Amino acid sequence: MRGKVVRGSLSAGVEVKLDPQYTVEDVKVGNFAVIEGKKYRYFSLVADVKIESTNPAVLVDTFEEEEDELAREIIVGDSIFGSISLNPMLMTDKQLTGEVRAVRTIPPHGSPARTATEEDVAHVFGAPDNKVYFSLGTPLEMETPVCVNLPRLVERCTGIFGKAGTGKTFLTRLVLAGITKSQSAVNLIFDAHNEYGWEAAKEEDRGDGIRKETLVKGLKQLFPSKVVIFTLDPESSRRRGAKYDHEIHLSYSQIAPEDILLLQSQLNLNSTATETMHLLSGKMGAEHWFKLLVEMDAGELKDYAEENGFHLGALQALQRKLKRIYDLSFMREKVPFDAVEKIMQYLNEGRHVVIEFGSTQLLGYMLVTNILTKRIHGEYVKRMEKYQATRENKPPHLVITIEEAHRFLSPELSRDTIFATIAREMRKYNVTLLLVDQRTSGIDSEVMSQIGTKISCKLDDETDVNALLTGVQDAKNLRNILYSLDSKQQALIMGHAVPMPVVIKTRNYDIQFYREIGETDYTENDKEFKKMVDDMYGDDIEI
Amino acid sequence: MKEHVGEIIESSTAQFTCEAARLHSAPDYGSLVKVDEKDYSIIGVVFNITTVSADPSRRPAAYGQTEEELRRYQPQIFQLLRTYFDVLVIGYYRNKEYTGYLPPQPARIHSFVYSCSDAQYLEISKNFNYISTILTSSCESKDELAAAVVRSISRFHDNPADYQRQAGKELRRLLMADYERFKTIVRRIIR
Repeated sequence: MRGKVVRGSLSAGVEVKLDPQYTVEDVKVGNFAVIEGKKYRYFSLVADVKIESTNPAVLVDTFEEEEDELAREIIVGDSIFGSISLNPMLMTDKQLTGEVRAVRTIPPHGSPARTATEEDVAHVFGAPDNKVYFSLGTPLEMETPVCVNLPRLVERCTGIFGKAGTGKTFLTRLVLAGITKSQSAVNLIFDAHNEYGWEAAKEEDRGDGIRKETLVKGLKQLFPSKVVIFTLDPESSRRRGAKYDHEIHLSYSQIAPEDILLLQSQLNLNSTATETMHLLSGKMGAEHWFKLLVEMDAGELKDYAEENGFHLGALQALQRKLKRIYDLSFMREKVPFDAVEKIMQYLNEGRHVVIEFGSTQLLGYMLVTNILTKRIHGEYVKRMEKYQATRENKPPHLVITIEEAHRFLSPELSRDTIFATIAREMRKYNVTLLLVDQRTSGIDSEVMSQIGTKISCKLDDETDVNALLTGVQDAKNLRNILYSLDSKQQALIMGHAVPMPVVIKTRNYDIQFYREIGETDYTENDKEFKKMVDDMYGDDIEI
Repeated sequence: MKEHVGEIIESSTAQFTCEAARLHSAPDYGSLVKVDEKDYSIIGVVFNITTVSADPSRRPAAYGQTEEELRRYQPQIFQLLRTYFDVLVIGYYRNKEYTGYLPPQPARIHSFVYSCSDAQYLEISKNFNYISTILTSSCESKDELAAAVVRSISRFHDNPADYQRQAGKELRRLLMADYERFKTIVRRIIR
């Protein structure tokens, strides 16, 4: 594509008239374009493609008669022309030597615009080195890797969004692998659907319409020495043939009224139940109330209600509901080791922790996630404060990955959950979140605005798109781009970790990726193996 | 020396009128002609070809005979008829360089008018100013004339269609506000 700048403003972007030999079909929304100004080079995103004319009367002429052939040749391309809206995002000096900065001006009238070359993309996004720059994919119709800046990515909260089946999980797996490989942070992953730790199934359609299921490697397989898997459901892990390092159990004494509060909608609790729990916890002791209440029989409950002035019905209802938690398979009277301490120990060693939930229901997932995070958050605050006093033993940067994030961060709940606190202020304490969700509108807007890097696969629902783009600069144009994404393997990345918003074709999560990222050097392995075979059988065996 | 095609009998800066050298032998409508002056050669396009009585007070009358019969039995009447044509000035040569605008002085009366050579056609046609000169002139049916000139010039090009396209672009530039007029002219160019 080539064209010339014909009008524009910094706030609304510039309009480029395509040269006559190009048609609107040569340009696609979300592609990169470069405008050569007189002093600067501008990196831009194609935001819109239009058919325009200098005279509206021309537009309605369809040139169907044979004798209009010459008129058509003259008019189309010049009087009816393709016009594209470009959003200049970054500028740099013409020699590409200076730093890349956000745009503060626009190119002059008549400046030539063109499709960005591979070199341009590499200049803007950096070359992948798996330490700072990690490639997540390539721009559409290009082969140059687009990199995110991992230290910047983990510095603030990150969100990976997209409706079901658009490749969220794969993107998340890529990002997690990147963080693990680069060691820019340690991961704590609440893996609700057992997708990150050990291998997971991947649905593939190779263009022949037949869906194939293949298994892809999990983090533990890629980084055996760096990743530790905890499971809440050893049965399920064994059934799936997944390896795990430890089982997690929670003891009744660890459950506080606030933890139950989070499950309000799952347990169908009313507001008096909250007060009742707080009262009970006050009377019976914070460590004992849960077990004592649930284990009371009908008579005891009645006596207790009478003695302490509780409403019996309310107490019975509460007991009935809490029984669901009591019955969760990982709940124990006593636990063999304190899970949080163990997790903290690993994290401190720079190891990454995946917590698998097996077939645990949402209720259990939310409860465990909340309780563990709350404790780990507490530990982190303590350690960071200690570090600030002594300047030694700085805890490693921690990224907590949660799925179904809207369950924890909905506007009604976000005041009470630990996650909203982390999203808002934990950057100071070296903890950030990686939210994975399909319903951005379900997340409190205050939390949403704190997310530094947003990676979004296709979103259809308008409220979700609106929520995603809240507070994002140039939301109108990004919206067009977002709607135009394919439902597979395409994502829009914007925010802190990339210099400008970019649409990528997600890189493949395959053998080549394993080779590049994984701890095990497969090529090296192959060589060793070949050498061994050679030694045994001589050189003439081909393997 | 080539034979002249006419002689100027009325002249102004923008156009002049000629009497054709022979009856019924005016140059074609829309063709290019030139007048050699002392310092420059004026170039124009032919339009408004008329054949009338040499004496304005005497009108030719109908005889009810074919031209062949007339020539045999009434040869004198052809002596009384004259063919005239008008020329719209579109530019001039000075020091062998063509410029697409009006010369500083009109052509002198009684100057001879010659047809342009093939090479001159090609040279003049590179300058598209003639289109706007024609469209803004006061001559009759100027749209028709513009199309005729493009047609006659394009014949001298190796690729007439390409030249017509280029001329069409100039037309489009001039007539974008009047799209129907543009289309009418363009339709006449390709015939």
